[in-house]
Amino acid sequence: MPVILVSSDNQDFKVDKEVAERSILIKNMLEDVGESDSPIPLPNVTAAVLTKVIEYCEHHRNDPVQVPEETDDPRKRSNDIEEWDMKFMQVDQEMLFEIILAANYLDIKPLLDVGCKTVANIIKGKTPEEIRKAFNIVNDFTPEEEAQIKKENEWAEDR
Amino acid sequence: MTDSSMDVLVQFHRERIASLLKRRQQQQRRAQQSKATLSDLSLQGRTVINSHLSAPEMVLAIPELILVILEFLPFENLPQVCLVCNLWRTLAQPLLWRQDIFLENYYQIRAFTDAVVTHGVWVKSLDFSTRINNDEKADGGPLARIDLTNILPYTPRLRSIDVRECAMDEHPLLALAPYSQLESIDFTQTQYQILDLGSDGSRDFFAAWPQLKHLRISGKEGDYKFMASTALEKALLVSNSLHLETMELSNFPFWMESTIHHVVSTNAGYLRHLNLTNCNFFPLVFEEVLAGATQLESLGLHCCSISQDSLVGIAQAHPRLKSLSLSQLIELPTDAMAEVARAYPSLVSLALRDCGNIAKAARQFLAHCPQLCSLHIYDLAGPNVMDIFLGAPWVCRGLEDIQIERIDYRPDEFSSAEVRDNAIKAMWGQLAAQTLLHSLLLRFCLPHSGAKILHPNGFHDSVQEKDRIMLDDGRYQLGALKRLRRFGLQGYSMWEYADVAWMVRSFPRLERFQYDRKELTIPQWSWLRTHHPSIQLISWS
Repeated sequence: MPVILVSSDNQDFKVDKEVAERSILIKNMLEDVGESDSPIPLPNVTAAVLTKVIEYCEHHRNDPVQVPEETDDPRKRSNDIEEWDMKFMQVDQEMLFEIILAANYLDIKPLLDVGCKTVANIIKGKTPEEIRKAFNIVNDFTPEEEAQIKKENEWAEDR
Repeated sequence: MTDSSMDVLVQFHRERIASLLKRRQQQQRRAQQSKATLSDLSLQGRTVINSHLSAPEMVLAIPELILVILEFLPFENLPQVCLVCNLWRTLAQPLLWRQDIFLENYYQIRAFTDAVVTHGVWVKSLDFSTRINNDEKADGGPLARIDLTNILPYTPRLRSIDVRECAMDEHPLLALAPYSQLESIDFTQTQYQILDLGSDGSRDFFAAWPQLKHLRISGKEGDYKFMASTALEKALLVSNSLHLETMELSNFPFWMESTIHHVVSTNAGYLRHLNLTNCNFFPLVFEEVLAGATQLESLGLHCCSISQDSLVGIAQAHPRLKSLSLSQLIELPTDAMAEVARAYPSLVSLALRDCGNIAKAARQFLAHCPQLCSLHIYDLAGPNVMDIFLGAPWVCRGLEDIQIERIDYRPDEFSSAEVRDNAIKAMWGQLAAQTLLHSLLLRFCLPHSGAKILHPNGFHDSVQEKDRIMLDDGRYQLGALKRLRRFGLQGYSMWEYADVAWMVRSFPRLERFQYDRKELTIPQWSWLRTHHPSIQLISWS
C-alpha cells in the first residue's frame, strides 16, 4: 500500500510503505495509527530535500535493518562509504546539511551516517581556520585558551 | 561504553525520545477520541527550527549531530578539530583521549604527563612504545625517567596498558597492583631485568586484578640467556586467580614445560585467544589441557615443537576455531593439513609462515573453509607454488584481505609456455572472484634481481625493451574488485601508464598502493601523485 508524504511546501509524494518505513519516525507513526490513507505531513522537509531522501530510501529499500553494534571501538571509518551513496552525496553544501537535518528528523540512521561521514571527509586535513571558514563558525577562544589547548594536545601531534 | 559523557548523551537521547513518544501517544489518544485524520497528528512534536539559519548553521547548532560527525574523524584530525571553537573542543577532547594512546618518545611522554592531570579521566588505553634515538639513549633512555606513578593516579578508567621498557622504581607488577580496574596488561619486548621478580617471585601477584582478561608477555628476542625461570614464571606458576580470555607468551624457551600447561589448564574455562611463540611444552600434555578450552576462538603456534598428530588432535578438539596462525613449525605434510583444514569449518582467518610446503597446505584450507576472510602467507615456496590458484574454485567467496609475501614463482618450472600462461590466468581469476577484497598484496620474487617482466616470457628487462605486459594475462580481471582499498604488487611487471590508469579507474576506493621502486618509474609515479593525491604511495625497496 502506498503512503502519501507531504513536504513543507505542500507537495505530495506517493511512495511504497516499505520505502517510507526506512524512516523510523514514519514507521512508528504508521504502527501507532494503523491502516490509514491520510497523507503524512512533514513540516520540516522541503520538496527538494524530500525528493533526495526518497531517492535514498528507494535505493536502500531492501537493506537489512541496521542493528546498533555493541562494539567498543571508538574509531569509526569515514571512508567506507558505498559507491552509490558517495555519488548520491555529491550535492552542494546547503543540500548536504539539509539531508542531514532531514535524516535526523525522520530518524533514518544510515542516511544520517552517510551524511555525517561526508562532512567528516570535508573536515579531514583542514586547519582549524579552514574549518571555521567552511562552516561559518566563530572562533570563541582567547589566544591564551588556544595556547593552552595546543599544549594539552601536544602529545597527539605529528604522528 | 562506560564513559560518563556518553552516558549523559545516551540519557539525553533516551529522555528526548521518551518525551516525543509520550507526546505522540497523547496526540494519538486525542486523535482517536476526536476521530481525527492523520494530518491532525502532524509531527508537531518537533518544532520547525528557526528558518533564518542556513542548513549548515542549523546542523552545527546541534551538539549531538556534531558529535556524530566528529566520531567519523581519524585520530590525527582530532587535535586540529579541538581548536575550532569551544563547543567542538568540548566534544572532540574526550574522543581524542579515549583513543588507544601510544607514546613514542620522551617529549610526547612529557607533554602527556603534564596534560594527563586534567584529561586523564578519559584515558582507556596506554602504550609506551619506545623509539629511542641516540641522544635520548645517552640520558638513560626516554622511559627511564618516566614515573608511572605520575600518570596512573590520574587515569581511573585505564583498562589497558602496555608497559614495554618503562623502568620503574618497583617491579611493574607491584607498580600496577593498586590499579585493580585493569583488564589488559602487556609486557611487549620487555627486558629480563625489568621483569625479574628475584626471590619475591613465589606469590600470586595476579590476584591484584580481578578483572584481568588479557595478558601478553613477550621477552626481548636474543635475550635468552637471561630468560631463566625467574622472570614472571614463578608468579604464573603459583597463580590460581587468573581467568584470562587472551594469553600471549613469546620467547620463553627456557620455561619449564609445566608452566605453559599450568596457565592453560587454570584458564581453560575462559580462554578465547591463545598465542605461543618459542615456548616449551610437551605436545601431548598440551593437546590434553587445551582440549579443556572449549571457548577457544583463535590459536597461534609459532616456533614451538609440536607434532603433526598433536596439530590434528588440537584441530579436532576445536571445530569452532575462527583464527589460526602457524609459523616455523615442522614440515606440514599435505595429508595432515587436509585433516586440519577439514576440522576447522568456521575458520575466518588463516596465517601461515615458514611451514614447509605452504602452497599445498593453504590450498587445503581454501578447499575446506568457506568462511575464510583473511589469508596471510609468507614464503610461498617449493615446487608448483601456483598450485594454490589452480584446480577448483576456492570454496570461500568472502575473502577481504589477502597478503602473500614472497611468491617464489619460477617460470622455467612449467612444462610449456601455455601451461605457465594458464597458471597466471588462473591466479588472477581466483583472486578476481573474491569481490569483497579490500586489501591485496602480492610479492613475487624472481631468481634475478631487477625489474623483470614475469610474464609472458620471464626475464625481459622491460625498461630497455619497452615490453608491456600481455593484455590478456588476466590481470585486468581484478577490475571486478570494486572494494579494494589497499593494493600492492611486486615483481610482476613494470607499471606502464596504461597499467596505473587502469588501476585508478578500476579501484575507485584505493587508498594505498605499494610498489617496487624499480618497477614504477618517475613519470608514472608523478602522474599518480599529481592526479590522485589521495592515494598513498608506499615503496618496497
